Amino acid sequence: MTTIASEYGNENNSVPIEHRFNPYSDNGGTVLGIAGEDFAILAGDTRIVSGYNIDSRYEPKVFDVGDNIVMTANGFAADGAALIDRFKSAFKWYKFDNNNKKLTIQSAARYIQHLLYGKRFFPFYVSTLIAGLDEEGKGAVYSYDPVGSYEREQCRAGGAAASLIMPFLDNQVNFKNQFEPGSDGRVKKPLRYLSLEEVLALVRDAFTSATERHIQVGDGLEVLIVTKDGIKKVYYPLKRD
Amino acid sequence: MRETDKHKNKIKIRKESKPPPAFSSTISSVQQFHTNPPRTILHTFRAATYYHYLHIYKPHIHTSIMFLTRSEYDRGVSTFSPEGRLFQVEYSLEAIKLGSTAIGILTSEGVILGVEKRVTSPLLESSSIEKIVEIDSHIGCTMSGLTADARSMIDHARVSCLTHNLYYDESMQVESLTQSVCDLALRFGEGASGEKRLMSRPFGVALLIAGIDEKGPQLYHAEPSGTFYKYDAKAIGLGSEGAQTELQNEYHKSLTLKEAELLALKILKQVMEEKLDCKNAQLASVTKEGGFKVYEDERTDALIKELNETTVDETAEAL
Amino acid sequence: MAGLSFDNYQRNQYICAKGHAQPKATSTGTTIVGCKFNGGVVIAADTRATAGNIVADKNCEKLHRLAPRIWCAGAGTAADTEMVTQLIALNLELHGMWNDRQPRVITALTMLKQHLFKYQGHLGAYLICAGVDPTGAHLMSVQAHGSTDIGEYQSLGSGSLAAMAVLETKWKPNMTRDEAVLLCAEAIESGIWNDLGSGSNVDVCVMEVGKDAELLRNYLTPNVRAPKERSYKFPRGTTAILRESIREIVDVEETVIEFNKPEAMEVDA
Repeated sequence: MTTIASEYGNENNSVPIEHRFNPYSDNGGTVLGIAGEDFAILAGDTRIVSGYNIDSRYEPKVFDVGDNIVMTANGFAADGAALIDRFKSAFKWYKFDNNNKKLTIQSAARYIQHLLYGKRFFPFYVSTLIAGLDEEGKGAVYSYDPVGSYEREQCRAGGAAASLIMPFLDNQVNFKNQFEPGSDGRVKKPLRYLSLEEVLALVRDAFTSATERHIQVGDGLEVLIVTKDGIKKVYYPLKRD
Repeated sequence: MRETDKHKNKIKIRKESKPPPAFSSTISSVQQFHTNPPRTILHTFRAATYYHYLHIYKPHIHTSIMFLTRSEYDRGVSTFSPEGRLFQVEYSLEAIKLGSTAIGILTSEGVILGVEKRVTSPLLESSSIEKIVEIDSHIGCTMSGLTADARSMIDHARVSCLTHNLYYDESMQVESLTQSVCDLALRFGEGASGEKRLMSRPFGVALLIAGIDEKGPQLYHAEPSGTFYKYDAKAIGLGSEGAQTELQNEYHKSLTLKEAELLALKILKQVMEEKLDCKNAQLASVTKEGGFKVYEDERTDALIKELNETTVDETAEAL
Repeated sequence: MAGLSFDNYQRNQYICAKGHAQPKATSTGTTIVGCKFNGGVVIAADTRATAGNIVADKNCEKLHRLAPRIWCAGAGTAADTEMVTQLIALNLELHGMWNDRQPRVITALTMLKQHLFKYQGHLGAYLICAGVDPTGAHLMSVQAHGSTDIGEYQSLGSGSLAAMAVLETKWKPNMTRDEAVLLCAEAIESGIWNDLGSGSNVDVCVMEVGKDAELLRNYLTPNVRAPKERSYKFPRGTTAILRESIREIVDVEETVIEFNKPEAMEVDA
């Protein structure tokens, strides 16, 4: 049977409408970290967004936080900035308390877990990444969820277009779903370290592609490259639409 | 053994006779205070009450009226005397000199800690005297003075190490740990940034903190005054004066861990009245491989045996 | 039955109350503009279609034909702009045939607003309607609830503010065709750059009195994708064959069976 008009009178909206302050907002953007054999990179687009507006076309969000460690916290920009500020301050205290000892990326990683978990019930609304070199000089990337669960990985994408970039990285960095031709799917493509040039090419392709399909990604791409010789910054323009 | 070492071993260490050093040190400090300028009448009046108390309960220290007036600045633990001294802190330093001797020796292989355990009764279970304790797997310490006070320091030190490991996924540096313990030592007064006053008086114990980190083996001496120093070799407690002299004579940078073990025992033997055995002496080491380890009684005994043999040899040689 | 069916309205309300999200219609964040000039009217649109934050179509068409010389730029719910436009186009054509006249822009506008008003804003169609007819060139806009505006220049969609900023700055009366096209394209570009809901290319449609309408598809393409740094060609055999099943091809054999085929006729009997 078909009803032409619905019985609006039967609607029972007994739930009172609640108006509540929402302390979070989403400032878009996306970030990406890849570890190589003797280097690591952290890349992020430079666009800041609120709603359908572009608040900034160049606002760096990947930072050199000291001792050859780079850090980014993408999502709610205010929380990201606050988290990095807290880390930088903790970093200074670490130096004071431990006779200027070099903070290893492993220790930095653990400390950030506590910074994040410290706000377990009012979390920093960010996906956090850090990158650097481990004690053997090998590239290292650590990634976090908003409340501090962390893991060392070969690569990780975070932020708005993470779901677009991550499968690409799985396939191109960890060679997921790639097999040796002729092995009939029995021999996986062997893993190997990518060179810095290869990684930069992947990063650029990841970001130009994300820019194509995600409205919050674009304007510029800033990459921080960590090697034993220090941190290098490179910038590539992205589409601005 | 090298020629020079042989020579040094021949030096006879004087066993101190009665009165015990604890008493003598008290006397010396009293003499020190004689030089203080005179106090006001009011002060003297108040001091009289105290004098009365002393006279009844501690008749042996009624010698000086100046000693009594001093008490005006003893009431508040964090009140400076007009000469700029904190008497309670200074006394706490004296308390250490009453404790049994503890020694720490640094070598390139690790650190040796040695301590005397005063077994005051044959019925006392010597294993219940705990003077060498672990702080973390790479740090240990020994103490002298009011060992009960060390309980809260050790607790604090252990918490510091554990927290550091939790926050940074690495072992705490020995110097940082020592600093952390010394921060606690000053908590008999309110903290500068509003921290609560934790204790009614300064600690009456000093620690020898031995540990190893990426900077290698290290030995620190932490005092109740909150200061700490790094040492190659250090002795604290009752026999510290003689022991320190001996350490100065015997210590050299190329000491092996084994030599340090024997040196620690040798010095303990010299400063102790009782015959050295595993019940009244204890050793511990901190090495890169083994971390902090308290020696088993059997091992200590074996080392004492070895020490006795070499000493006999040398005595024979000397004759 | 024609029209919209509200059969599932209450059911869906119930499901929503249980915490299940309702499927969202794709709302095209869009920039559309229109502008009159001496002897005609021009409308323009960007070509980005979005589904949430994802670009669903990089080069979609937002300029719809209502009649040969009446065109319409649509913003809002993609399905609504499409369907409303098609329906009105059909009715305009019927109307034109019935009256043996070329349809007028005001007729198209009236039909649109009546239809949209009937649906009380539930059809999310926001349109800029323009064209030329025997009464001259016209430019109007319709809101989803059915209200309409007439003006020398119009802009609608999420990028309407960006576009209007350009129109308000640079519009002047009695423009030439080329000036109007340029202005509209610039207004759309402003939306493309400054509004996240708009992007990619600029489509333009020019309607001049006495002439056929001219659709300038991809009039501007300021967002051509840069070539990729790497080739992502996989060597043959990279993909595993997880399962393989081969079926024999069924041979269809055709056999003609004839029944009651008369034997050699018996003539004698």
